[in-house]
Amino acid sequence: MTMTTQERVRGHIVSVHAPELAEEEIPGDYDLLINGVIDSLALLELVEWIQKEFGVSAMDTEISPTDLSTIDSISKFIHKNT
Amino acid sequence: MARLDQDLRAFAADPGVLWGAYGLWTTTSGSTGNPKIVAHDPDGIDRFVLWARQRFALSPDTVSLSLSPLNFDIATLDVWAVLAAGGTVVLPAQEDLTRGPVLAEAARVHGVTLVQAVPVVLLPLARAATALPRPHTVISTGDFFPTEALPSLEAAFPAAELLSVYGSTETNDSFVLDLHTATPGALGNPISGVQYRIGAGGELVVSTPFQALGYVNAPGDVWCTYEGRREFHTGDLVATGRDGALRLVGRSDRQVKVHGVRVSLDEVEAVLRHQSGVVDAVVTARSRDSGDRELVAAVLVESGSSATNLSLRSAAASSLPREALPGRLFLTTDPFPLTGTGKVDRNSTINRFLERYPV
Repeated sequence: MTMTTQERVRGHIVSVHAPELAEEEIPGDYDLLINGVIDSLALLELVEWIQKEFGVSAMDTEISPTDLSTIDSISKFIHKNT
Repeated sequence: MARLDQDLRAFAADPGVLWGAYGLWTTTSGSTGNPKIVAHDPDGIDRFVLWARQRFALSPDTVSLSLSPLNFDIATLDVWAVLAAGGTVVLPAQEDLTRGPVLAEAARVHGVTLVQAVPVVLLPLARAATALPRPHTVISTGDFFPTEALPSLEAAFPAAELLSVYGSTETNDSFVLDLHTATPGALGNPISGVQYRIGAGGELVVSTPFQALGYVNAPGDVWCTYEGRREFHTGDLVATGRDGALRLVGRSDRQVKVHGVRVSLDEVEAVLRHQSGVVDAVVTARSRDSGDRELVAAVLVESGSSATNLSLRSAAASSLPREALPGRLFLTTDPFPLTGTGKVDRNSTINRFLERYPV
């Protein structure tokens, strides 16, 4: 049984940026940027993690913050670029 | 007295040289940092006791309920001034200070006439008491009394003058407010002999007949001389209303810059406190390795409340600018730890959560 991309993204965000959210399931469409779960610094970390974890090259890809604002959009971005 | 005075002045100037110094020392609450030890001026204490005896008609018939630790400056009124007038002081056990019904019963049994406490202690007492006829003076101190809770005080103490006093440990009581006419943030009227001005950035600067000699364990840079007068910089930010009345708008040490934007930690707390199911909230700022700051919030919710971490974040985001959003937000149903003087200990509250949920 493999984890879905959504689950991996959610797991990463919770463990690295917000362990206090472990008891709450972050909805796929919850805006992480607007609601302050992820700030600009965390966004950089997230991009690095996506590159390493999914082999997405940031050089070849244009990333806008809205691509990474929710767990759904992050997952979509990963699928589109792998 | 002259000798004592001299010793204390020398001690305040250089605490290291006079290990045998004696006199009255009290501590600040430490709600925003380490408590500071304040060395009082014996003459200032005399003037304060004289003022308190006259203002509150203290006499051998006065019975005071002491609801604060003796190392808190509150005790200069409800313990020392009362004893100086020949009155009686009732000292409940430390563990009873959070038990409203026990305190209400003590007030009734001992025929207490004077009650002074911080709101967090005063309110449970008032809610548990049923129309005590004896108290003629009830004073809220140390923090702002929530004006919406005034009916509880009126019901518990129907014959009492209901007051709120404002002052710092360093200056003792400086302003007195009649709670019946209180509006949120109002400081009230200066006590006779108290001089004040609004300094740089809106900071309240006061000079009182009761003020201390200085700190025993901290630098004295909050004390300055202005037009020949020694003044204390309170760190409280005030504004003048249309009627000329002073209103507290925040603490200077509760204003921080995040991404270069000025953020009021008190305002963020207020937004969180107003959410449904929320009992209390504390917010602090911490520095990050990047050199920037982030806000950290702890929110106390009623057990069984539907408020969640994510819903509170969304609620905050809908009424605050992005810089004012807590990067870390913790939810709990366990009451926040208090400082020795009954204020919420913000730093230890937040630090406990940061330790429990490290990243």
